[in-house]
Amino acid sequence: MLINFEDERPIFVQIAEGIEDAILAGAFLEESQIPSTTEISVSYKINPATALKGINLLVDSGILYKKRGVGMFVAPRATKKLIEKRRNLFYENYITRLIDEAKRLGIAQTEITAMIERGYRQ
Amino acid sequence: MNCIEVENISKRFGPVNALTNINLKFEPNKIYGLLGRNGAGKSTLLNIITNRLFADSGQVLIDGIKAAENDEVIGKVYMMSEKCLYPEGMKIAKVLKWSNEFYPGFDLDYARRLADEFGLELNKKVKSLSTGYGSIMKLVVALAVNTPYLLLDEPVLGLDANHREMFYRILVQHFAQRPSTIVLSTHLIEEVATVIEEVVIIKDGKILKNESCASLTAKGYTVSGSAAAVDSFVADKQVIGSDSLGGLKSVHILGIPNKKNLPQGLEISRLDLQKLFIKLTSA
Amino acid sequence: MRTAIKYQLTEVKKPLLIYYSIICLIISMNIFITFYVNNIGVNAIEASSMIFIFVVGLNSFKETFRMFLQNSRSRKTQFTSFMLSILPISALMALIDTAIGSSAHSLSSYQSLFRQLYALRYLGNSSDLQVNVEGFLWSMLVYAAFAMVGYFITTLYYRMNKGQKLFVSIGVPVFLLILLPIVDETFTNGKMFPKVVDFFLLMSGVKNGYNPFYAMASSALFFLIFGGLSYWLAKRAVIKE
Repeated sequence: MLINFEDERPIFVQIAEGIEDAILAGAFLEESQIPSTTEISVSYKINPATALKGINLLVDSGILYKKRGVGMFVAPRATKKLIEKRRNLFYENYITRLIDEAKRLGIAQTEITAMIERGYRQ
Repeated sequence: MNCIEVENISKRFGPVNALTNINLKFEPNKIYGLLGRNGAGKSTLLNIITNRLFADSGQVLIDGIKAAENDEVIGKVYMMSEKCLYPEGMKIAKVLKWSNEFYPGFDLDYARRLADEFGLELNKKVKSLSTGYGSIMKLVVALAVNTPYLLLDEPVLGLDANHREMFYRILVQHFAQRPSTIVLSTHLIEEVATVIEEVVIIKDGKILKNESCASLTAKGYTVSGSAAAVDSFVADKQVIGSDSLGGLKSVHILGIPNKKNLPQGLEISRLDLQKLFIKLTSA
Repeated sequence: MRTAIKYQLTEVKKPLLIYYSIICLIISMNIFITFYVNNIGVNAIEASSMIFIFVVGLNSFKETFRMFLQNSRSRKTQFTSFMLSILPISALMALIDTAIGSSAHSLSSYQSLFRQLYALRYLGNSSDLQVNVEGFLWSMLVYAAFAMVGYFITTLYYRMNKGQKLFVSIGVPVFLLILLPIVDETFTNGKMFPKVVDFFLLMSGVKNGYNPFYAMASSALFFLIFGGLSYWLAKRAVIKE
């Protein structure tokens, strides 16, 4: 995952999203252990408290769970939950922005539809 | 009780008020950023905490006990200063050996490993070190000393990019494994912004801000776009500063952004600590 | 405190070894020479020991002060550890010097400073043991006093700013070597200098029947006075930029 420190979103949110991406990509399998807070904070040189906050965000939404004395694990059915969540955000995160930019550039709705079709064909 | 408390500290150097009525608390197991421009009073404050200078008034309590001239209490604090206080003719190996004698928690093996990792030669003398390696020597001691409080004054002075990166990585790792209270005093805010949890901003010997990093940066945002659009958007808002480039303008605002009412063509981004710091501390 | 004393002692170890290697070399050469050539040789190593320990005192403040502050030790600890380490060092040096003096004396025409100063006291039938014990005590206390004066001077210089240093560095010699003789000449008709000499003779015990115990008492007094003054200076010392 990539952390962009210039990003509008706080670092802990980016950490959480990075882990989500890894789960969706199959890099972290369900019921498997994810890197520890220390490992995450060291590799991104961020405060462990920030890393923990990001992980806790996912614990609260049931994506991760804690095995006492062992570490953090991906919850069963986490992938399914994430897909649902991301689908709900898809319109806001991608479509709205797409239309904003298209308007700025004067791209018509039909042109966008054509582009999308082209994209799927590839 | 387990904290460093700075109470009403004031200090003058001749006609200059170096510190005026400073009240602060460094709580356990947190990383603080003590931020200020050169000459703001950062080093003076740290020197008073560590008994190297005397305050004109006020006191410093460490774990609830007055710190001045008390070996037992000041032994809980290790300070890496910008200035080197080790004897010039002493070899690095001896510096480590004596640190091991003076601090019961010192980890000599770890110090040697770190020295090796940074390429610090143990048989060199203190005076033969470059600025960068002088900093590295002090950092090696600081990282191995294992005192409950660690004060680092300009820790990366003279370090090249690789060594800086290494230092922050090792610092975070060390902190995650053995939490302690760490104060990073620096004017290089960008580098420490993600490492620190709490921010103390000091200007002209006074404390400007003292709060968590997250809450400080959440207090504002930056909006950018065409100058005209930005200007009309910020008209009724509390502006702390702006940058412009041709017809483009970025304005830093205190407050919470309302994304729903954002006019077209404007973008909102997070207010970063560096920008906030520059705005707050520039004349 | 144990670490602090250990540090202070370690600091002196190397110069001390070098110093005594040189002294031993000189003394053995001297014995050799007087044995075969019968020349007037080296005497009174106590004088060089006094200079040596005075220099040790001079070198015992600034670096140690900074090192101790870096290692979270108070000014009080620094001062106390100096006091507690300079006494055994003085004792050790006095012991070595007495031993060298005694053996060199029996092997050659070597005369220790102590024997020279208080020769008349031991003219009678005093034993070598008495000379050595009293010589040892005398050397030890005099050395300790010299070390303390050195420590005081260096602490004083550390506390002073540039102007004050300049003033003292020039002012004291000018006062002692120019002003005082003039004052003595014009106002007290030259009576001051004999008095000063008299005072030193009294302090060293040479005046009252060559009694080294006078010198021991005044050395101890000097040690305490300069110790007190040094502590007063050291306890408010701060690091300088």
